[in-house]
Amino acid sequence: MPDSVRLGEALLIALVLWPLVAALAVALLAASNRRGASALSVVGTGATLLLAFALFAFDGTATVRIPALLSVLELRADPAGLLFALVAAMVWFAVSVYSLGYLRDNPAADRLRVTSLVVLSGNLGVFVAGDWLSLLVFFEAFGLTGLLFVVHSGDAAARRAGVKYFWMTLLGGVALLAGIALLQQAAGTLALAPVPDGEAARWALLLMLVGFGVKAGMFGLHIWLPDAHSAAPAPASALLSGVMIKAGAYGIFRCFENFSADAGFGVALLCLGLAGMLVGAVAALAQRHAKRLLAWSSISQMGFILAAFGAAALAGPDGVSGRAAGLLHAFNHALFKSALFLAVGALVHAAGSANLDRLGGMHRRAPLLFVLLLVAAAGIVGLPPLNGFASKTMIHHALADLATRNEAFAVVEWGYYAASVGTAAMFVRLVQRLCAQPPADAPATSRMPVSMSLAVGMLAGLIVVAGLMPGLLTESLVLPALGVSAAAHDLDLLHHSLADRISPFVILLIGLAVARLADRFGLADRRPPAWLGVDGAFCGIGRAVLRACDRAARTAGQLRRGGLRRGVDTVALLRRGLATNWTDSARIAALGAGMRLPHDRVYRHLDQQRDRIIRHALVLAGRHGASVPGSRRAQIERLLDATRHYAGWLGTRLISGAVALDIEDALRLAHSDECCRHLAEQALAMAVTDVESGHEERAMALADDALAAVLGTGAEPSFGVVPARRGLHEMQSVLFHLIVDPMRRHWPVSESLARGAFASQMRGSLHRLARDPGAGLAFACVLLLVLTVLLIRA
Amino acid sequence: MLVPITVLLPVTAAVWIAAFGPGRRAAAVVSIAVTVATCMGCAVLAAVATFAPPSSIELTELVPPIGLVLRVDALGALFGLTVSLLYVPATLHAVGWLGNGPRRCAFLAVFLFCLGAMLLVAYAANLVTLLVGYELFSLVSVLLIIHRRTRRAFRAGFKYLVYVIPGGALALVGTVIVFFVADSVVFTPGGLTAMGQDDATLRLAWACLMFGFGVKAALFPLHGWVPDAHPAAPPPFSAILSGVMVATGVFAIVRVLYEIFGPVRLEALAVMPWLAVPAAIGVVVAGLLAVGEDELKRRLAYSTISQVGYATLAISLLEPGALTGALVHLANHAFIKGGLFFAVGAVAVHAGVHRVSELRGMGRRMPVTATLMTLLALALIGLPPLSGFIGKWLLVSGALQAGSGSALVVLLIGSVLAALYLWPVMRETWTPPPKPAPERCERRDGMLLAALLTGALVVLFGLGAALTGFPLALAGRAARLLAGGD
Repeated sequence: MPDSVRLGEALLIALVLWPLVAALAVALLAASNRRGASALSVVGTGATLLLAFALFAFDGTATVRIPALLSVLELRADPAGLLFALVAAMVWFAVSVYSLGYLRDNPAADRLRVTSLVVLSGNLGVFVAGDWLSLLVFFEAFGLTGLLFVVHSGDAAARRAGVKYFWMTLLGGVALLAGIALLQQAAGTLALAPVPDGEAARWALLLMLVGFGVKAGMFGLHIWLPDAHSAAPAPASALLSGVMIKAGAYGIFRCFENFSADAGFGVALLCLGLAGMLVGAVAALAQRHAKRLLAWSSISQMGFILAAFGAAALAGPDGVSGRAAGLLHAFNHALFKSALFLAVGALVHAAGSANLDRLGGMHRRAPLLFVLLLVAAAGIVGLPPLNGFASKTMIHHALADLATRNEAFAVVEWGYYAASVGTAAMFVRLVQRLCAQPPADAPATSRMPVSMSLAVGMLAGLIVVAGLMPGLLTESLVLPALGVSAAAHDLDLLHHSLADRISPFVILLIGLAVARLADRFGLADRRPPAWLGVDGAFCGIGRAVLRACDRAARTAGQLRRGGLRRGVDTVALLRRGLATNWTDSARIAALGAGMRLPHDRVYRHLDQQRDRIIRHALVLAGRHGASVPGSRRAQIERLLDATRHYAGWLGTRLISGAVALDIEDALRLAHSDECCRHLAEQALAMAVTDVESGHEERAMALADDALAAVLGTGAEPSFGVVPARRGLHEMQSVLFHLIVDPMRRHWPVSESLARGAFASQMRGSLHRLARDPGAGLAFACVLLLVLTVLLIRA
Repeated sequence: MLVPITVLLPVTAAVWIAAFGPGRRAAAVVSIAVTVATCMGCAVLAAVATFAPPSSIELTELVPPIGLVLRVDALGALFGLTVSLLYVPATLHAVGWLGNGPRRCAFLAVFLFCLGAMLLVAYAANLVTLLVGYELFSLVSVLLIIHRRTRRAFRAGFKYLVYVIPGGALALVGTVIVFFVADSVVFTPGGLTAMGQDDATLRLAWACLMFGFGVKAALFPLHGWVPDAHPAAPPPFSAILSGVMVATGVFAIVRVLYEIFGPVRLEALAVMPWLAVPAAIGVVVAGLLAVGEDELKRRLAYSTISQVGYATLAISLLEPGALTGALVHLANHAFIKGGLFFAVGAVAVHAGVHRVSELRGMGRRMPVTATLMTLLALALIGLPPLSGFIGKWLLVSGALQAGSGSALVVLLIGSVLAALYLWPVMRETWTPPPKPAPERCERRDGMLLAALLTGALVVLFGLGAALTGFPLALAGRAARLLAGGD
């Protein structure tokens, strides 16, 4: 009937839009009327609950297409989505009732309420999304909005938790985006329909599992969970742990519903679920912080759910029991985990500290809450006749079926037992602490607000009811979600043998013993090495990426400022290597790699020493020229020229010899007046000989001796002759010097460069060119020119 | 008739402001009125383009047979609408920022002139008209870059000229070669028909045109002017620079690729990897540099290079889906980046904060501006349902349609890098400052209004992207037309 169809569509739109409208109303009202705002938020969530029930009661599948975003935002109410939507609405309503009391004195309460309503809208949107793109939109939106939950308290721990949450959510979102795009490629459509198998489909499934797994607290991607759930305020933690991580489980359920996954994925999911179960249980046992204990317990329980899904995937078409188990446990876990968080939150609030050792005596101070907490704990441990029993037994059956099918999976069942024992142990420990002696400086008992007890009571009541009537849940929610009829499978799913009924109690007893042992061993005080954790790996990768970016930015900055200089240090290095005949590889390596090493300083000092030698030699030459009678101006010029030439050359050789020494010796030489004087006199002598009679070998030998005396080492054979002072050679040197860093003129080059006005002009313009803007553009132009040429050739 | 009016109106207003030098209020009113009128004109043209086939109007004839011809088609209408719509908040911002400062009439005059020139580029029907508009606004905008007359501004302006003048020359050379090879420079969907057989000449023309327009499009390694120009230029013009001026380069590249050469010929020439690889390198390198950059405006400038690189990479895939994604992404990026520059400009003026490390506690000092900055940053990261998500999704699915796994990887890396360089901005803004808490310094002026307006547009374009007349529909139609269909 068209009317009912339209009613269904209206209900769907209202389900997602109404919380947004309520959020807006609360935000507007909060400024003036705080009590009205809090009441309005309760009304908002209550109305959402009614809408969810109405949709549930509405027969048929309503579909709505809203023209928004890319093309169409599709909403669809099918049983699987409604199962999750229903439990989400229930938990949210209970939490908003709880907040009436809990957030009474909190100054930022309204921000929390508004955020909570917006996140509710997003979360419901995920559950009723009709195609993958709509699911992605709601998933990302509510994921990042949930960040506000985590950082609500504003202290340093909350901010750190927020950072981890943000990055994991973002990376998961990127993976999910890629996965869904690949799915569109593989299936040709974005509808929630079976996807044909293929390469793209496999990649898509992998990426989507990663994306949903981050949200679901799958082992390996769970690092954000313990910090985030313990840093958020109690009502927000209940929502985070209770419902928001179920969005991830829902996504994984949809994936396996529509992909024909091969065995590898099933095994991977099973193993990850198993690891999550066990690691979560062990970590929770080692916690001192009550909320972190509950957060690790969430990881453990999600491991149960994921293991059930994995077993179902491996079982293929017979996997109904596994999927049903996962769905039912998701439903139940939402109820008891949120009840636990709310109850523990209230007790922590009353005791003033979340440390387990300070929570003693709560059973007397808040007896009602304590009893309700006991109910929830019993539920999570899986004691009959509460709801946890049915779902855990179903999971057990699914895993046992898998073991009977394939011998290799027998270990899975043992893993289940171990994890159940761990769960029992952690809650035994929690209850023990709550019943212990109250600490000496416990704050005064204040009355627990009624609303808080009422909220927890509602959830506990649901736990009991669901436990007493497991068939109701299975028949009306779970089986329709799987699209199978009740008659065929009902009996199988809920058939509990005597062993099934007894095992929870046995597990509880063993758990008691394990808890005692854990306390005896001081498990809470032991910390595993940091590198062992997945946490460390992720943080390490993050830090490495940031360091790489920082280095890239610094290099770019240096390139911009240094221009051409940087690029040709290698040329200078090569030259240096040639000069020392590559024998001193260590020094060359040091020179190459560490231009910023002490050698730099040594060079600068030696450079200054060479300048001093040249100046001193020129002074001596001037005096000499003046003293020789009858010398013409041209002769004096020539003498000065020659002196500068030889002094420079000697200085250069001094440098090349000195760097082979120790740093202290080299510095000593660099500051030694005597060395300066000696070499200057030697230079003058060589110049005088040159001017008068031309270049002589003997003069060279003398120079070698002088240098050897100064350096205190054996005479270094002079590499080639002193470069002659010819125009062509000067041009060669000038051209070479254009490439070498002017600052590094102590590299062994001809000293004749120093006097070339042409050379200094070129050096100056090279400086200017090497700064902005020439270097980048010139490089770019050259590169592009080369590319053009290649292009035309190609 | 509407097209020449839309193009000439801002130019006339610019001339009037420059000539008569009206008082502060008169200049403000006139500029805002002119920009709003231009925007409405472009909106009407966009409606025309959505429902009617392209039509040409000849303005003048330069050298027969080449003339200044204007045309309204989907791509031009999309670009014109983006430019004129961004100019409305930009003018508000400029009016707020200029206040009673010196040379404000000169600034507004040149500002409006640039609008007119960019519209000339948008509605150009042949390569010569596009080149005329392109050169005009390239050369004139240097006056805006050096407006503040600081040493840094002059250096930035000089560097910009050094890049842009050779670029313009190369583009002219390319145009000339095209004309000599094909005897026509009119934009024809699917490429000019008579391009001749000489591959080497075609490649040369392609290379010249890509280099020439790539300078403006911040194509690696021709992007060197961008990080210097942005902090030096006045905030309203930085927003225009990042938002639409860089997009103009990409727009010109799209026109050249699809309507001068044509996809078929380009595949035969096998030159597209030469565009794809620099674009991909630019995305990653600019993203990395943005992470390490402390100065806010430079960080946003590198971010622009990276984001526009996405578009260029997608365009080089020669795939209609990817082209749609690129066009939508450019249009959305204009508003997101423009809004970010508006907000950052307001923060710089009122709180004196120029660096990310000084942003601590901005959430308390300028709450509305800080919220807008966060919203726009999230939009840039691609959070649904904001407009950045639309572009991101279309780019990703377009890359997959083209079968290019490497383009997909580059896009995803760029997306993560975007979060990496925007997260510190968000985090520092909302970290409570150390005591004593500084006081609020938010002022309700044109700058805040501009940022609000842009934020609203970003949300609107995100939520309502599928509605007709919005950028997505126009981009889709443009892609179909360019690919030679409908």
